[in-house]
Amino acid sequence: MKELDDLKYNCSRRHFLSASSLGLGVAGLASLLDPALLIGEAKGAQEVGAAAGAGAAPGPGSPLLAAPHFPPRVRRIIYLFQSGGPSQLDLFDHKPLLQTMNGQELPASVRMGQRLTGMTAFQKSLPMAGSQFAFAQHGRSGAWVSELMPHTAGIVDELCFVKALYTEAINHDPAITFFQTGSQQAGRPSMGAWLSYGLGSENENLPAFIVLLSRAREGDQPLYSWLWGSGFLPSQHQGVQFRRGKDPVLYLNDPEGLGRVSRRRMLDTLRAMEEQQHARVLDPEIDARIAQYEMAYRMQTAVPSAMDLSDEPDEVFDLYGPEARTPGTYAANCLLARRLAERNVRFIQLYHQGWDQHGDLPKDIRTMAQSVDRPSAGLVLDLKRRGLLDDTLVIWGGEFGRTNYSQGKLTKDNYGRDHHPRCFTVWMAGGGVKRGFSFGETDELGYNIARDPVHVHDFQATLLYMLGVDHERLLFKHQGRRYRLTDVHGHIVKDLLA
Amino acid sequence: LTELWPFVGRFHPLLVHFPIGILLLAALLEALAWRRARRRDPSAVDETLASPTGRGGAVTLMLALGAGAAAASATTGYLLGTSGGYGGDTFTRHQAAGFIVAFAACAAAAASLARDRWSSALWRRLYLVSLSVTVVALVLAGHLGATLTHGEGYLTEHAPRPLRALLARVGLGGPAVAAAPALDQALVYGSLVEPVLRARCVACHGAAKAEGELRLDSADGLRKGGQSGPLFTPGRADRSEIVRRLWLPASDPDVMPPAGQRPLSPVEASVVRWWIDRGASFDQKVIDAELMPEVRPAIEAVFGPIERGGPTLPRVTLGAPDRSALAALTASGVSVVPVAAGTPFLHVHATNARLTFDDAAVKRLEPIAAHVLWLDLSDTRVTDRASAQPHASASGAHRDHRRRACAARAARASGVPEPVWNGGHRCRPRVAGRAEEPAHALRVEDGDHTGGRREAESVLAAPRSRARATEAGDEGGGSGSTDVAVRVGPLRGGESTRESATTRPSPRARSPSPRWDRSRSGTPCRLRPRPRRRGLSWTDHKLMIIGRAPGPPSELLGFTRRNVNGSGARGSGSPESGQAGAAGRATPRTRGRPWPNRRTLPRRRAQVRLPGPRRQEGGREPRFRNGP
Repeated sequence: MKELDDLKYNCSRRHFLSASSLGLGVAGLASLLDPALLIGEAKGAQEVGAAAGAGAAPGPGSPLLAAPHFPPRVRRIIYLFQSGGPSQLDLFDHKPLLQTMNGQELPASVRMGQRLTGMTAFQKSLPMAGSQFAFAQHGRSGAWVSELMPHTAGIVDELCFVKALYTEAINHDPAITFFQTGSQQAGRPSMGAWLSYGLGSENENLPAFIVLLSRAREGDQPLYSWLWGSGFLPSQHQGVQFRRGKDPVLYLNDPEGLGRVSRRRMLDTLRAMEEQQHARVLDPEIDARIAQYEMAYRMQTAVPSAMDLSDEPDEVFDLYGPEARTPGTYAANCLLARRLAERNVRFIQLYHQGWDQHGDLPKDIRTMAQSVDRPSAGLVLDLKRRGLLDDTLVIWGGEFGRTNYSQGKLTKDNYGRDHHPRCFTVWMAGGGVKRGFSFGETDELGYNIARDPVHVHDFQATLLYMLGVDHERLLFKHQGRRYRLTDVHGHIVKDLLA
Repeated sequence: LTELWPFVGRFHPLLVHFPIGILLLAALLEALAWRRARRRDPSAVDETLASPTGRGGAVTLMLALGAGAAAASATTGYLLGTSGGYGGDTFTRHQAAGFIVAFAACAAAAASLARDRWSSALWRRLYLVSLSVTVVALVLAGHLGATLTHGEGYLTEHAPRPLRALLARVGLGGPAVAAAPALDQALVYGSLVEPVLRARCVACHGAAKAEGELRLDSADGLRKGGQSGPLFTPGRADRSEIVRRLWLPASDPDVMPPAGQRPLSPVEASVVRWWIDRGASFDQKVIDAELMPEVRPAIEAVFGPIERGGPTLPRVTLGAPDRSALAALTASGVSVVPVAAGTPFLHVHATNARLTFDDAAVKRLEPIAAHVLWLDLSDTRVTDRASAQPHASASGAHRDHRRRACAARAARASGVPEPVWNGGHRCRPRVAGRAEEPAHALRVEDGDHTGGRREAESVLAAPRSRARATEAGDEGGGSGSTDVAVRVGPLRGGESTRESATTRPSPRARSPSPRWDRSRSGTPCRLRPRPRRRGLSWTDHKLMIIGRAPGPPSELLGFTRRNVNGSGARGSGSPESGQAGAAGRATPRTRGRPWPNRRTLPRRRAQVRLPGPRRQEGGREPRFRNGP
């Protein structure tokens, strides 16, 4: 109990004075200059925010920002995360030279002594491996897409390819963590958590940040729940994982025999007690707990209806592919993502595992591509015909790319590719980004970036910008310093914006 | 010996400064002495010129020295001129002036010597004339020489604008300063590349001095190339001589501009490279060129800041929205948030009031209609009875235009500042998915479609067009004065979905609502002047119609409902099936499965509170999580 008592003094006299003196002084000065401020007759735009926010009294769940910093371009993001690192060289980044030089040693002038993973650093030879898959240009924009992605090829005029993304991490977990939280070490809030914290949820019956997992093959890299954690942010902002099966959200349903009225009474009493405790110890986590209980209560009815695909007509399943009928598949998750987007969930994150093709790439990547191609394209088309694509951003991409040389032996019909953080491809579709557009180039061997590199932090800054958030102003003070998603980096890539 | 001539010639720039200094000083001394003598005794002016000693002797000496230096300069200058690379008017004039200086200076020195000795009026006159000629020719030769070295207009480049204009009118001071051309007319070469060449290259590779037989002052010269061969390969900057020379390290003998001179700035060099990479065309327009980030500063320097696709909101003066109306809305579960900080516009969505927001509730939007920029009523219980039906007839779309026109007019009237450029896309209204539908449009923004523009202007000119719009549109009578346009699409949810399940809707089949098509913003990012749709900006994702009325705030309120399954099957939105659509609209739609929301559940904030210590009312939790 000693620790709890200490919490009481979280706000000591000294802290109170130092923290509030400036505020009190400013309030006094402001009221001198404009007495109307104190009696609440403020005019102009500020009042709009205040008045508009008046309906929802600031409570534990209310967002940090009363209004976005900029007029948003999209209201929500669907992030189709391809965990494991899809091979850009076999999907979107067409390198004919690599195919003609197939089997030759990777020139040292191209590699430039750059770091490799321990898996190939000691490999005697690094034979360049051209893609075995045929590429063709598609659409009016003439984007190159390999034969692995026939459905995606059909929608290239909707897509905005970022071909020269690069990251700092070389292994899966640091790289995904870097992509999602802006730091390679676990513990920072995830992108969705930042958005939930900054903008709040538009739908009060569902959390702002929902996570859906799927995999197409067994035995690939694991995912950890810190990827959708809230880090040091209040914990109600962490992503809520929806699972397949009877209980999409664990422990959400009432036990047998407990009615909703009883549950409500129980929650009210619990809340009253928690507020007492909060008054004693001022622990913000109690607020978070209250908010989570309330959210869970409202979700009890919202989640089942969101997860119930029985009202979807057959033609929707045609669009996403037959797999969409199997809960837990990527296709089903894409369909769910659309349903959640309709319900104005702000950040819907899918993770699809299985892209880590160190060996046997031609066979495995076919499986993977098959599992994502039709659902991803179907999702974009479905959003488009519903008018949702105008204010939704869909992102498809992994945590890094794959090398242009073969890991292991390069044979006539088999090769593998190692992790390659120096360039990889991500595509986006939806409101705010250019359509039928490709940004950035890799060199002719697909090893380094030739033009317009985009760092992960730049990418994150751009995503926040599209939602109307200035990545430099979405801050949280923790352990004596202010944190943000992009740390001290990040430039908005305006060339991507329509 | 002839091979020494170029070497001797190179001493010209060294020597030319001596005659300029010495001769001008001699003339100055003479003028001072003349003035002084005149003040003392005006009748003795002639005498002073003939003064045999002292000052006269010094002046004679200086004139002799100056004449020697002038002769040397003229000789070396001639040798330099013959060593190649020079030609043109400026050069000829400079050469002539130089020779005149040399002869006149010799004459002046001789006359000075003679008047010292013989003191005759003839010598004095001859002295005066030759000295004047020397000075005039000297100034001229000096200026022309500097022009040869530094390029045309060097002297007046940074002169004050009125002075430059004056000089230009008299025909001096280099090329006149042209005003920045209009963006939609400006050529890449003329407005971006040529200024760089003229400022940094033409001094040596121009009409006056074509070093390396290369002239960069005309398109022909550029195409022709120089001694080292062609200047560039269109489309391949990496194989172009000019780019190679510009990018060489400063220590390389081939680098251009030559060692010792300031190299081109990265932006200037990039402009040249960019132009060659884009095909080195002489008549490509800036707005058609693919914009690369590295040349952006150059473009912005000429045309002002480029704003790329930033969603800009009209800056209009709007009072604060009605507080009680806002309170009523939020109390009914409708979310009202500012579109962005610092704007008076509101984003209204009924995500949390889907079951309760109905036709009557639309009335509650009226008081804040002027502020509503985005309105999302998807999946609510609003039916078409609450609203006008702009697409019920073929003329519906026109009415919609009128609405937009009114909005545009309102924004214009409210004094929105000049639009900034908005590169990257061209907004063009079209009717989505219906090729046979005439793409009538409010084309105020597109100057090249005069037909559409005229239409729009006539709409603007019609004084009471909106009255007609209301009259025609308000057939449902659900809300008398509200002129609400609901773009009707099929609804989400069970029944309608099942109905349409038989025909697979094409992704493009939608209600024939005019939309701003951005699909043209294809692969190359094109710069377009921002449409002249003053002040009224459809944000990029065009969430909702922007409505702002010139009259009472509630008069104009347009919004669209997100359509769910494509419109083909229901046909409610298509002009052809207007009858069927009207029939369909008469019945309030069922919304599919019930949607839980706060109205059906116990109110969240109505919890039971036990007496006892509570945290501060209404306060957010203290943000300090750590000890002080």
